[in-house]
Amino acid sequence: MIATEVQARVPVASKLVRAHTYAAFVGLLLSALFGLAVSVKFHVPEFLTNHAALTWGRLRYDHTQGILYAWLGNAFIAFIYFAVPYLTRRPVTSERLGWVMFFVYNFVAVLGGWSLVLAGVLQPLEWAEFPLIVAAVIELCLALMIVQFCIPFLKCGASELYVSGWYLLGGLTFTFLAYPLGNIVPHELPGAMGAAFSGLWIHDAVGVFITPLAVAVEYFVITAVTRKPIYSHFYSMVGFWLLFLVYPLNGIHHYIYSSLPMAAQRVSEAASIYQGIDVILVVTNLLLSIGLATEGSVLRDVPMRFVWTSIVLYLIVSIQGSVQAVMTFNSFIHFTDWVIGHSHLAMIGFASFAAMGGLGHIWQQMPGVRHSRRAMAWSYWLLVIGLGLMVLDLTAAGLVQATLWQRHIPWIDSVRASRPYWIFRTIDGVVLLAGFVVFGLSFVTGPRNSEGFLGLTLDTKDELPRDHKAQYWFTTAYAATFGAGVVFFFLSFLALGVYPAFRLRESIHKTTPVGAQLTLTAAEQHGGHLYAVDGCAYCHSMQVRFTPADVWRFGTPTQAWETQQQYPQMWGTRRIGPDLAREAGKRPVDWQLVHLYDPRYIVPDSVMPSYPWLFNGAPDRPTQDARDLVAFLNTLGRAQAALTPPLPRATYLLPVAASANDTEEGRQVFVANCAGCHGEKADGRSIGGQSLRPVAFNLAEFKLSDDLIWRVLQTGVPGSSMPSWNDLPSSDFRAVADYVAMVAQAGELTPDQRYASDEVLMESGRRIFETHCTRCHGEEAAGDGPDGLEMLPRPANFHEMMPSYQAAAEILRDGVPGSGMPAWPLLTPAEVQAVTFYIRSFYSAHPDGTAQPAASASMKMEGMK
Amino acid sequence: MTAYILGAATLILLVLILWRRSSPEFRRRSEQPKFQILANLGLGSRSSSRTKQPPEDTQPITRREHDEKRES
Repeated sequence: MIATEVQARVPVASKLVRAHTYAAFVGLLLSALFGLAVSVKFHVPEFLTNHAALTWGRLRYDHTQGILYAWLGNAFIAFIYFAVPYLTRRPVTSERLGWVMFFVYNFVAVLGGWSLVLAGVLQPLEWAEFPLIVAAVIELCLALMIVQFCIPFLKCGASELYVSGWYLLGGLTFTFLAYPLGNIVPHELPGAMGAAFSGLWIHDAVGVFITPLAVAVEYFVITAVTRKPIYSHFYSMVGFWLLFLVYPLNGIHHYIYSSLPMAAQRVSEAASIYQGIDVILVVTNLLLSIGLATEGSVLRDVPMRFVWTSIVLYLIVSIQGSVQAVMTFNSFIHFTDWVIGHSHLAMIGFASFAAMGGLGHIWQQMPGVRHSRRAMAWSYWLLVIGLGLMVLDLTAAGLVQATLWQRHIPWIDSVRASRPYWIFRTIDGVVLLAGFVVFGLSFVTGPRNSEGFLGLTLDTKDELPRDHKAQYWFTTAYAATFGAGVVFFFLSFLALGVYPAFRLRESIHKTTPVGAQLTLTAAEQHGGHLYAVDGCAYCHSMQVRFTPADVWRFGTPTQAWETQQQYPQMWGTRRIGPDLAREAGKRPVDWQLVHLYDPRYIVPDSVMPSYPWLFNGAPDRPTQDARDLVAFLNTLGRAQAALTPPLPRATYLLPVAASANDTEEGRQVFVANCAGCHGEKADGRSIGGQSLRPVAFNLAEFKLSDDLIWRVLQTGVPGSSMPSWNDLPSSDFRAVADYVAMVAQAGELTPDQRYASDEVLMESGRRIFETHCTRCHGEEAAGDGPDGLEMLPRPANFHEMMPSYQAAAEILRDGVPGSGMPAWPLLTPAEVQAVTFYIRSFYSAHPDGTAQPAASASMKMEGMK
Repeated sequence: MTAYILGAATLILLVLILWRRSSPEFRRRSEQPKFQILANLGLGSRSSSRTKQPPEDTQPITRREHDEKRES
């Protein structure tokens, strides 16, 4: 216990307040820089991309964990050190313990956590990304905080405890209970069962850690600045208990329309709405406390201005949260940037503004420190403007994304549409960062406060509280309600954690198909680890929801039994790229590898980071890590795919005719969607296209029938990287088909290029073809030879495609890497020309309008072997 | 189950509100902490040595003044 020379003095541990305040600023600036880097990567994907430590996923992890622990954690601890003596008329338990806690919290938990995450030691759990060892340290710190701050409360009369004290006690105690749920339990319970507990912690991190401490600051600063009692302490306590009853019940609303039991989803939906009602009560009480006491004049006090703004935004973000949890609206808005706007409004607008108000108020009282009111006022406006623009921007982006996801268009269209919003988000982020910097400067510039004693000076020793025994405290009415609060917590644990887990266990037992391939090989498990380490789950969700838009786009909804080997679950709460729950077999391995090496090689508008450290300098030289990662991707949905045929997909009718008017539109669609692999000239010579196996098709050197173009666009080419483009809007689909038909050409030979007459070329070509080609391409060159039936991709059917002489010569010289077509280096140029002439004769849409006649055996064979 | 939990919470809340309206003693005790914190901050009957004085346009208020104001 802190020694006091004068018995009636209760000091604030001001050095610890200062230390945690400075640590909070460092944490805030670094976390904001992490966030800004993450934001820049959305529109400059190659920014900081050459090192694994600086990849998007890891910076994103450090951004959110830094805001939670480095910034808000330190800021609230500083406030608690300041507030506890005023709330309890007692000092905190031990200043020495405080310093131990400060070093462990900041240098082991925060710095250690950040470093380990950048080094790839982490867990892919939302708001719980620091690795387990760091989670254990944080849990230890939470225990130490209870010892440091709660013992003074135990020794003071509970009946006199101000509402801020209740929020501090509740926040610390409940966080200590909730923290292991999100950090440890998901490692023990797989997939859907683990998701139920993860959902609890996602919301408890905000609901029972951040929110109570922020509201504690608000109640404290209001009464200290107005110098008047709050409007109603009774209603403040009603709000307190409702918060702890209802908030933990919200958790599963992050997984609505998932395979979690519907009853649990309904609980979370109803609790979220009730939570909004509670917040209306709390905010009304807070605003009445300000308004009634001062008629608004206290807003000249800058910290109070921060607190007032925090209260207003608390109301807005809570109502927004309640609306988001309504299932019909959730089906529309979930996974979009709307939710990111919501979380920034909560963590900056509500929590950070409250913390800033609290720290600003403390600094006004702190002896001997500099304090600039003007800088703080500037920071307020910078932050309000930056936050306002960011939330509006992300909300609009979310609405755009949600609307596009409902439409039957390629996923990448939503990425393209989001780009302006993401650029604007970075600009907003710079404004916010400037606001944070100026706020920090306001603590080290300006006039210096006078020296003096910070704390309580009681008139007599008799005013010091008596050392009530713990038993006495526990028999008070407040103690009973505190016990009830703990019961509330376990209620949520049972309702949204244990109950769904038991229901899921039963469901999984009944529904798991016999022989379902769920276990992963060691390589696949390693790939899953890499997937987690680089934050893939934070852009690609891994759950197809039971919504029409999801089912249309991704296929069969994710069933609980499919997830029983996911340790921990990586369902995700955001989609920047498409969902990957049905990724198995959707893309060839070489496509995945090229896409990992540099996504823009084959998807020019992709914002996905590159992963060059998984390769030895080229996409066709992957390391074992890259192979393992792709192997893992091909396990996602594998068991389901083996059991159920793919859902029928929409088909388009054949085009009536190519239209010249569509050429430009078709070219634009081609460049946007096809040029990544086929090249802008459609010659298949892009870097990405040449890295694929088989290499991208040279459209510019083949004449293709309309039927073939249409069919390939609809169904893709099995065994190659060519996907179905069925999700293109029908107008785009038609335009690109027409464009391909236009660019696909296979010119004729000029007379001086010919080695022989048509008859000779035909006969010679026939004999070569029958000798070397029919086993795969078939006697009629329809791609149906006996050896070709098992090949993927299937051998070419020359009735619907006609190569140019140049293209055929290249293929015969080099083969088609990645397909069954070998090189035929021993054929002479004349033989190549002959066999090309022959196979061109089968093209049903030949320029002459008819198939060429079969060659006769009597034709001469000049120049041939 | 949701209905039971939230319904029970609402019922308890209504009982407490009605009890508070009918019982001056309950009302006094439930509001006591907001005066205690003022005293602890040196803004009520007890003194404090917080290094900076609060804004001039706000004056400390006693519980009696507060009650009188609320009654009026």
